[in-house]
Amino acid sequence: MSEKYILLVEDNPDDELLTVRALKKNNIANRIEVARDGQQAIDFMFAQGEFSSRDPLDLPQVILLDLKLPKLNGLEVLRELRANERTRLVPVVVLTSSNEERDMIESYQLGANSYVRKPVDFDQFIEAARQLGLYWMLLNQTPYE
Amino acid sequence: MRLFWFLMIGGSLLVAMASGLQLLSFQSLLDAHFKQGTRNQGELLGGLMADSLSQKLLDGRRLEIRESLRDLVEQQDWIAYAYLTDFDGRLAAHSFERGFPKALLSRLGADDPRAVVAFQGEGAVINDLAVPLIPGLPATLHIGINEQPLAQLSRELIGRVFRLSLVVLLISVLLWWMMARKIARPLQRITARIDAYRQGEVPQQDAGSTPLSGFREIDGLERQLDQTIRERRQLESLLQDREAYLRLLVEHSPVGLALTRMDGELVEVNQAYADITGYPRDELPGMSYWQITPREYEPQERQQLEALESTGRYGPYEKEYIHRDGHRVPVRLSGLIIQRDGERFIWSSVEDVSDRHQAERLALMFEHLLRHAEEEIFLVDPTSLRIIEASRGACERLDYGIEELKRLTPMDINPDLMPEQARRVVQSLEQEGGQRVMQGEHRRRNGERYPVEVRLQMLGEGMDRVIFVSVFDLSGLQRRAEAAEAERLELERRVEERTASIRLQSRIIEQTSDAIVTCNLEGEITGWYGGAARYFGLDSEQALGRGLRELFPDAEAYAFHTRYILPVLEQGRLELEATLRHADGRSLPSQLQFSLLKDEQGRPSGLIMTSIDISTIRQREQELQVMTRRLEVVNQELESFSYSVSHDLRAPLRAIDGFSQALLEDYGDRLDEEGRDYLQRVRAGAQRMAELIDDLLDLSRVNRSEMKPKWVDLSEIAAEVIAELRQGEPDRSVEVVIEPGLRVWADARLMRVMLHNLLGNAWKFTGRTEKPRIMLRSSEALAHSFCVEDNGVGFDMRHAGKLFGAFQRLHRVSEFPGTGIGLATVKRIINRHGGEIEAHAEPGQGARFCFTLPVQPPGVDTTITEEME
Repeated sequence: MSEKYILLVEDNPDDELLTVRALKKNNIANRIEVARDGQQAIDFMFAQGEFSSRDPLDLPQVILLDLKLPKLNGLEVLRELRANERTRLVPVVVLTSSNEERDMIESYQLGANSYVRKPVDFDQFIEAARQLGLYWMLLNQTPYE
Repeated sequence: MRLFWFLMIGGSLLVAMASGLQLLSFQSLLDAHFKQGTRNQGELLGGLMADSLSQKLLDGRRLEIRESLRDLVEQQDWIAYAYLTDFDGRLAAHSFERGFPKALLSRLGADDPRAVVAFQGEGAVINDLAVPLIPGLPATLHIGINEQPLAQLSRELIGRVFRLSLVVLLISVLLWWMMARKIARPLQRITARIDAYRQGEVPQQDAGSTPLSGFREIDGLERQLDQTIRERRQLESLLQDREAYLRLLVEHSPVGLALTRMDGELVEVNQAYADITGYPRDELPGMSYWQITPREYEPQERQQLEALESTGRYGPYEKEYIHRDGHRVPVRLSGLIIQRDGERFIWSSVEDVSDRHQAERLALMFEHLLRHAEEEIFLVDPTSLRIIEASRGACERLDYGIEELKRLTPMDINPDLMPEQARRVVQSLEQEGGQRVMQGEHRRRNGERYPVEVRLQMLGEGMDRVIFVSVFDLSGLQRRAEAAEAERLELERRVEERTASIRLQSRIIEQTSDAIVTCNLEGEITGWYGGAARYFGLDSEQALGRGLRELFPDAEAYAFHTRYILPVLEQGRLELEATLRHADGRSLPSQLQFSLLKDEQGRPSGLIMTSIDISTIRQREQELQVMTRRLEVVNQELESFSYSVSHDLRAPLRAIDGFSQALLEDYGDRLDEEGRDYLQRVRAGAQRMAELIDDLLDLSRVNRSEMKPKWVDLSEIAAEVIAELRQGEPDRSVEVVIEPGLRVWADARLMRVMLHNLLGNAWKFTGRTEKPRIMLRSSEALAHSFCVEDNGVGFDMRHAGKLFGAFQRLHRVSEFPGTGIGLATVKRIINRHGGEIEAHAEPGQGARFCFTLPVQPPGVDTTITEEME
């Protein structure tokens, strides 16, 4: 098995940069792959399209998934991942601006492992990223490892 | 006798048949005879003509021969043709006009010229007779004898004989009919009548309807018989009349008549007797008069029987019978002994004397009546004009004793009455009868007068005539008349009031726009009131008698009955909405109310239907539906808008804050203090904007989220909110008092938002208070009302109006942070639950927010809720 990495699905470059920065601030040195829309995330996960050369068995340690995405939205991506036997158990953390109760309920119903709201305050953001990274990258044992 | 006639008819028939047979054989004989005769005649003719024909043949005058042959055929109808052969046997001449027939050619050279040969020709049998002109020579005259005329002749003869015998037969039958009808039948009838008469039958009518025979002796016999029968009949009817008369006397006697045996058994009674005793007439024979005689009369009865034995008579005496229904009937009896078929019977006459007894009692009662009557009554003798009798009332009112009054006349008590006038009245009463009414005044013994109305009437006849005088004291009557008049006026007034009220009612009914219709139990319209005419477009003449169902376009006959009439009969009333039909076909959405119409005995007699036009309500409903749909669309748009806001508006803020922080971290050492401060302010601005967005979203969510009301414990939620607040600022020490068990019927999530804001405010504004205290309790003054109180900074009530508007703040942000949206959200939540919120405060004295909330589900009675608890 290759090194552990994170798949960040995020269309907003500002948010991408801030998320990566927050993770780095917390000393999470793992490689971070970025998909910029829902379709790209799916292609990445199933090693298809532009990612057809990828090893489809090389799955991320955790997926940080924004909900509001071009092409396929986050919930659709989540549904597809959970419907596929190989990607069914990949940990997915929904990372979104929305604090709509509806979104949260639907995410959990589709099998999200966690739901984190992106705070505007960057300090809080770093705190959230710290907890995320610590938990998912260091403590949590992925089932397929 | 009958046998004789049979034999006679049979014999005649036999004779007729025998003669018929005889005639048939006679005919064949006659035929043969005729044939022979014609042949002989033919030969004779041939012989007569032989010489002249031979001569003409020898002379060769064949034309002449032909002429004489034709003459022959023409003269004799029984000769069909004739021809002649010459001495060589060849044909010399013939009578045929169209040539010699081939059938006869074979006859020309015949060996035996005399032979008779028959052949068929023209539908008749013709015999060819050959007569030689000269014996031994072949010259022969042939004559064709037609048998037809001969046979006809013989048949005519036979026919005549047959008709003759038929006439004979007819005459004998006629003779027989006359004999039977005119002699034998009358004789039979007379014999039968004599037989019947001997056996005692006497016919009620003469037998004259059948015609007499016409033979004098027989008719005489019958007349004598009729005479005898008639005499006997007269005798019998005389006897019957006498008997019926006697029976009638007994039957219709008003006196009861009874035939009894000596021991008392009743043998025969008449109707009067049955009426007196009350028993049906057929029950009495066989009973004993002892059964209907009361016991106390037995000794008296025995005495009478002794008298009967010694003198043969008894009575008249009176006793009583026990009527069948138990009451006593007074009777008067007398009787005698009669002998019948060697036995002795008692023949009694019984008279019901109860009427007489009644009359005596009546007289007695009348006297009592007069002696006790309160009314003023007199009996006056019409001749002497003296008072014969007077009632107690008369004595008391006039203040005289009865004996005193009997010495007075009407003129004494009515001083205005003149004797001549009194006589005139009596005279008119005697002549014309009837009643007279007079008015005047009566005078008491002490001279006092009072107004009276006097009624006079003549009673009885002849010597028993008496004037009946009844007097009404008008002084009392006048008072009563006044009272009655007052009562009548009062009654009229009430009737008028009632009439006015009824008129008002009918005006109200007439002017109402609703239709009021009544129908009978068959569904036929019987009443058409209110705005029914306008409502349905039918006037009452068109509507009455129609089926109510016709107003209902969607109900068939059966459905109408089950849907409308039956439920009303069962439940007494029915309310529903239905679409009725106007006469022009328009639909009328209506609210219908049926109730049962009852007759005066309280039995259901029909239905009352009140119909209210709800077409405008329907229209409003439809408009409302359209509006609701539009609102839903707007709401959806708003929701997606809010969703976008929460996502997209926050992202740039996050970038501003995030990169400001990055700038501070990575390049902070290159900025001076002021530059770093500016960056901090940028971050604070972005964060505050994020807070505003969140609060605004909360507020809008309050409006659009679906309410799910249930029982919510406010106290519990409040405790949780306080716990969160304490966790946020663990160093603060605040006294919190929450009244336990505050239950409301509300949406739990919104309650949490509401308390979070209110308690959060209280928490925030007590931040600088020395001994901060927060309370949640139910209001003492108002039911369903709750209050959140604090002893914080409070506010000036002058600004209370702005308190619940969005973005309204009463404190500077530097003093107390906040967006100014919280209380607006609270107010929305309370309002959505149908409640109200009020704020009370004074600067420095803390604030109190009181709100109302439902404490029970809608439509549930309080008492029931308590029971459920």
